[in-house]
Amino acid sequence: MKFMTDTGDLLEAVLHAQKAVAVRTSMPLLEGILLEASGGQVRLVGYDMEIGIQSVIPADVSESGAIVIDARMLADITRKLPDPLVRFETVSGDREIVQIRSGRAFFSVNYRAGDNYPVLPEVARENRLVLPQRELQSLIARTVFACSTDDSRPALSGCLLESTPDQAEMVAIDGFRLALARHHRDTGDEDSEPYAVRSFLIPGKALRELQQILGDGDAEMYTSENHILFELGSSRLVSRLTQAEFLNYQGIIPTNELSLITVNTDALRSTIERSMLLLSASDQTRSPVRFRTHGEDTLEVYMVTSRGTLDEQVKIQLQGEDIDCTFNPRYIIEALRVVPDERVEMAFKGGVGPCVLRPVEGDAFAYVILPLRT
Amino acid sequence: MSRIQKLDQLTASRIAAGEVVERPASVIRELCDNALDAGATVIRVALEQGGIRSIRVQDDGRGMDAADARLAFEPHATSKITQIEDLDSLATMGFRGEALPAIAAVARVTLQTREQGAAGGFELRLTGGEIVAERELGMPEGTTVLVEDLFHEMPARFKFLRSDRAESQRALDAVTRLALARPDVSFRFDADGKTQLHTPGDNRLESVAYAVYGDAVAKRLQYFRYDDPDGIVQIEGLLGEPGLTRRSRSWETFVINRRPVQVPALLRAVEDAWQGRLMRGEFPFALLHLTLPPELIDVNVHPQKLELRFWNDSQVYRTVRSAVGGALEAMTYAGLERAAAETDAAESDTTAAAGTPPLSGSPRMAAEHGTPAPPELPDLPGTRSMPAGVRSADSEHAPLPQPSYAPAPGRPVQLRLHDVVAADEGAPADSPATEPPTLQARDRLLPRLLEARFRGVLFDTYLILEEGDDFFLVDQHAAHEKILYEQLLAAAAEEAEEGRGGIWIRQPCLAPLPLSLTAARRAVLDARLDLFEALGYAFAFGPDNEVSLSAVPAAAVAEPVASLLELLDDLEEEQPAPDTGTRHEERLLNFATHACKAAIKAHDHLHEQEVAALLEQLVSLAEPFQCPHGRPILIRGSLAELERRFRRSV
Ligand SMILES: Nc1ncnc2c1ncn2[C@@H]1O[C@H](COP(=O)(O)OP(=O)(O)OP(=O)(O)O)[C@@H](O)[C@H]1O
Ligand SMILES: [Mg+2]
Repeated sequence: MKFMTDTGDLLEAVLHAQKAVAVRTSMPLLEGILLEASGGQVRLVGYDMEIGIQSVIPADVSESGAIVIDARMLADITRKLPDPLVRFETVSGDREIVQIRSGRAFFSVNYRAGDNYPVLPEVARENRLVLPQRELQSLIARTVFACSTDDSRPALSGCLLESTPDQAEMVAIDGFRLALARHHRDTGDEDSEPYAVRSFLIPGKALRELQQILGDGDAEMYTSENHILFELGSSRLVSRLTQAEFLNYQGIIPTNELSLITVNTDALRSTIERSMLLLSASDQTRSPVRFRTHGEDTLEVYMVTSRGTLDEQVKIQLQGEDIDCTFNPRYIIEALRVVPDERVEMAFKGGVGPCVLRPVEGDAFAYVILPLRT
Repeated sequence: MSRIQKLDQLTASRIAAGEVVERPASVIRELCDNALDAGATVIRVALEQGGIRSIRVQDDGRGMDAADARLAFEPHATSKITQIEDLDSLATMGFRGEALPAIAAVARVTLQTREQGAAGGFELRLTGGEIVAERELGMPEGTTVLVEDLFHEMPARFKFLRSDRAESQRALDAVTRLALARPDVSFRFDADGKTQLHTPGDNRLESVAYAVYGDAVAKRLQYFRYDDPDGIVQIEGLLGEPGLTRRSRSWETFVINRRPVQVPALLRAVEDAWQGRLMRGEFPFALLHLTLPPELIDVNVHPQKLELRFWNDSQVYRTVRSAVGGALEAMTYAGLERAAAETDAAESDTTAAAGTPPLSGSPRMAAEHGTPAPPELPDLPGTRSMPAGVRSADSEHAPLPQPSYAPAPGRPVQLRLHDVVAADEGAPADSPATEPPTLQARDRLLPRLLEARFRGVLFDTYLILEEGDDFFLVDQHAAHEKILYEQLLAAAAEEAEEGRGGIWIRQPCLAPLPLSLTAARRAVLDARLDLFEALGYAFAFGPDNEVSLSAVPAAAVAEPVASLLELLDDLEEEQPAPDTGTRHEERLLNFATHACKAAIKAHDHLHEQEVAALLEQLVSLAEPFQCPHGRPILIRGSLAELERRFRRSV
């Protein structure tokens, strides 16, 4: 195998593929990235048997072939290459050595033959859905944090993506909170076509990787019975689909609140961030933050842990009954970190009923949590 | 017509008998008690069909003359006390004079006895409590009681008996308890001709444990002894090494003044001493012999004498807890010392280098199990197929006046815990019994850890420390876990005190999380619902056995279902103990799980300052040698050992 390519292109492709490379595996081959050179391009693949990522870059290929190089090392080497161009060439001999040259740098490193590298699952170009990559990325960012990381509950560790002609929605529920993000198609844009009506349950793990490789342009999605394929121009990601029934979440989002507070997003976020400074490793999950209103314009945020206390007053507008309840601070902060809006509302149903956090304007986001009880 | 009439003699004594003998095991227990009281050194128990057909108990004790033999079956006839005050200084098992008449009331009994020094023996046969035949016969010294057709005349009680096997098992358990209580007596137990237990009677706890529990368990036991400085309580026993645990309390045996007892305070004391070394639902091995002045205990509580009331529960609790705690600490320390000790001992043994000398040693009992063949009783005339045996020399097995067993030679010196424990709470410094006070095991080892130089990390997991001619390997994850665990315990105590209860805050579920539980898990859940609710779980029960979670402890939101299932499985085999504050214990042990999650993972890289901080915290712990799951935190090796392995020295 022998090819020459652009160092920057290669680095981007390596970093993408690396995200899907297995960390702990009994198959050493999966710890590497597959480089397959043929016909004017090099295909780079990382695959941990759950998620596969492939990037294709243009190259000047003088001898085609396929090799696997350790992913960490390849990323480190590529990052440090001195010249905008890089050449790869395997040498014949009894050991499997590939030479990597860039400027005056000349590496000789081990590789494994690529013939046995597993093939990414084939997904026919069916059940198509096209969304702008930026919008898909934003949907993921506003929901994936609310997925469970407990793999034993697949329905709770994935996000549901649902599309109708003029909007797309993504929902995640980990059992204790719900995050819903919505995107409205720009119907004023002549080039924008109505979306297909689809519903996919995608593993949170795949979405976390996908989020990092999304860029500009459109994302095309296709599904087979078991897999989903994301086509992103020169990159693609394949993942298993979650085979489980998603919770019927419509009934979970409460209406008819008893109290409503309106608050500046940054102000509330930094208050809660300050309160969390008091958490030690062992407090992480068990020190609640307390919300209590005083009159119509003050919210007292109170935190007590084994290390100390924080008591801070935040300016708000309150309509309805006074509020006094406690939350897992992590649940609140994670939502506040992903809301782009300047002001948010929190709607309460008493001290134990569900609370909804949403932007003051529009319906692009809703987040439901339950107060803690003692 | 008057309705009330006096019960006839037999009916009255049968009702009374129910108090004393309820099943074959209790008959055996009473007969063995009598044999022990008669000074037997060899006791042989044989039963057929679970004891329902027949029970035979044969001893080599002092026997009775004809007059006493007849009298023994009269109610309240006893040779053991004459007035009520005698109870306060009781050294015998029996004292009521009830057992033999009670047994004779519910079975056919044959008594054969020859008083020591007498020319011949004497036999009595009783049916329905009445003597029906008497004769003289030739027989060895001692007494044999044969009990046949137990409860035959009492269908109501007969019905309560379980299968032969179950009854036989209970009988074996009863004899086992006595054997564990009396290592100076050789017990043999045969059921339907098969020997199921045979103890040597060489007055060594290790030998009895070997006979009862087998080699695999016995070699993981450690002898210890403790004399309280006030000279009131003396404790000795065998403790299992930390990994040796069970899901039930069947390995916890307590003996007071050579009497097997069940005292909740003792269970609690032992398990509390183990706290932090056991996983949820695990119970340790502990065989404890306590010697107390007889006037301090009250045996007259239960007709079967199984329970025993202390004059002062809490003092006994404190003493036992600190004695066992000290012993465990020394065992852990001894485990660390072992590697060096073993290799030093094998100094000239070059083959040791070719093998794999362990770096970490767990405490092993040094005693060899080449116990002498247990003594045998001779056959009796007119008995069924008992194999002939030769009576062993009596003097060898003479019972000792008091249970003052000297530690057997060959026990490792550092395991004589006297010094270790004597330094514990409240012991007067000038106690005459103690040698010049030595430092506790941990105090000797821990300063060295702080002095030690940090030499690096193996596999991103084990910290290497060097001090003098020794090196230590510290499992960073286990160490951190233990630090967090102790911090959590402290926080929990504080929160409980302030009434904050923050640890038990619950997070309700947005939608019920359905659980699919196996029948076994479901049974545990139903049985221990209050425990789970106390921990912060809430459940919704639907039709068709459906269960779902409606709230979980706030600390368990990351893996709500997994943490619950884990807890269910751990509880599955545990048997609830009487009165040992189980809920509290469960809560504490539950912390270990959380501590584990928060702890530094095995493969996290630590910087040198972090290592120093970790060690400093570690050595300040109450129990720095084992993680909450009972695994060791550090092991020790020596330069000598390395030199030997590299053949730099021989
Ligand atoms: N195996 C034996 N060897 C010698 N003497 C015995 C034996 N069994 C019983 N005896 C004598 O018979 C008496 C009556 O025994 P019994 O078991 O009925 O009462 P106890 O042992 O005195 O009191 P308890 O009812 O508490 O057992 C004993 O006090 C003892 O003197
Ligand atoms: Mg008796």
